[in-house]
Amino acid sequence: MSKNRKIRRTKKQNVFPQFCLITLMCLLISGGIAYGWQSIEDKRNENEEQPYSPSEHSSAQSSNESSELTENQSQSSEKTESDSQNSEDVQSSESSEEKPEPKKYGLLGETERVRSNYFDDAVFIGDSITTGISLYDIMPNADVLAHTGINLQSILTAEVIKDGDNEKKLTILQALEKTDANKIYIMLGANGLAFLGAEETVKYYNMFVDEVIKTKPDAIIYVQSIFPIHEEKFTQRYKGNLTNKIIDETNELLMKMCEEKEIYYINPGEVFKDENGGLMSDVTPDGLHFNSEYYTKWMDYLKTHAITNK
Amino acid sequence: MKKLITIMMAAVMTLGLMTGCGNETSNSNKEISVSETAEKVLKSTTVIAELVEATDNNIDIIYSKYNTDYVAEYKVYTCASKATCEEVALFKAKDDQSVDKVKEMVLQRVNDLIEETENYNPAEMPKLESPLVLVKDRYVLLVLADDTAPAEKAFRESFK
Repeated sequence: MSKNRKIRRTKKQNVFPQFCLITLMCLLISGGIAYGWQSIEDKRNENEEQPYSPSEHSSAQSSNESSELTENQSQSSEKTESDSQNSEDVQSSESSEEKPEPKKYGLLGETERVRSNYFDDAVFIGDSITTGISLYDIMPNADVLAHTGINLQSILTAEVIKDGDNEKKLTILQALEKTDANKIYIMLGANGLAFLGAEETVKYYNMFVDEVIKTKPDAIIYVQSIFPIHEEKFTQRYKGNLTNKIIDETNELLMKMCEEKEIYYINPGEVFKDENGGLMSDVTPDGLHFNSEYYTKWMDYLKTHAITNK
Repeated sequence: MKKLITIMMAAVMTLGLMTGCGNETSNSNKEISVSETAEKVLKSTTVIAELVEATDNNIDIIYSKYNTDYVAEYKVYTCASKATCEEVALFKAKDDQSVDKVKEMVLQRVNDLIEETENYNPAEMPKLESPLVLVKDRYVLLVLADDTAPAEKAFRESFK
């Protein structure tokens, strides 16, 4: 007898929607974890890049600086390359032929000391202060073309220089033309500065220097600083409003003028200044002119500020 | 105009000096040392500036009419810095005929100083307006100072 076994079959369930749901949940959870992880990583990276910039503004600034720095670094590295290139160029040119150093005009610093014969072909142009060079007989080998009271407004026309035995006198430029000057020292400006002011004085100075260059185009031209004054004594004697501040301002402009004209500016006035920036009281009876000791200092300064090869 | 005034002033002053300066009539013929006398005169004179001795290199710059044809000897102390017009100068003429030339040279010096000083440093003009110019024998003295009386005394005493 056969026994029929009854096979009990369970009804097939549809699990697809559940699978989809679980998969979606897994995706959401993993997406959430990934997003969270990414956010944490980003924050950590930000903190590592800007450790000292708590605010948003400073962080931006820092970022700019950082980019500038990078730029500079790259420039610097370019410069270094260029320097090394130049250095190679210099070395190669030095090895092939020696070239003179480039000329530097304007303020002339201390140089190797020259001897008195350097002034054999020198001419000093100026006012009463410059006449002292011949009256103290301190540089007898140099020519002095100077006149008491001359100023930048009168210097081009005033006939003040004796011409041998001739009755008629010459202007300073006419007299300069007759010399064999290879070095020209000019010191003007003290007369008239009080009423002309710095800028106007330098305007006239420009005109005069142009004429000097025209007259002696190959000469080395030195413009000397206007010397400091003793303000109290000066005002008492000359009743003018000249101050050392105006003198310093004018000297600054004269220095620039020399740079532009490619001539030399020397500053002997610097050795004349006392602790207050003025001329010492005991070397000047009138606040402007000074005694022989300071003429020696002046000439000494010129000997240590001299161009030997133009 | 300014030049004209200067020339007129110079002319007036020259005339004044010609008449006012001391020309000694008596001739003592005493020889004096130019250097020593000038030094004595300088010591007797009160000056405020540093005066330095003129040299052969610059005497003709200071005295525009200087000429060795008529100056035998000189001692000049001048204010080289140009701070003042102070000056003590003693000249000995070569001979009696040269004395006037030396005197003329000294007066020219005063005029030159007037020309450059009147506008530039008027405070110095009183010294130039009353210069001491003394002529004794072949000696010509010029003193520019505020007070020239002690200088005159010192000069005269040198001949005693």
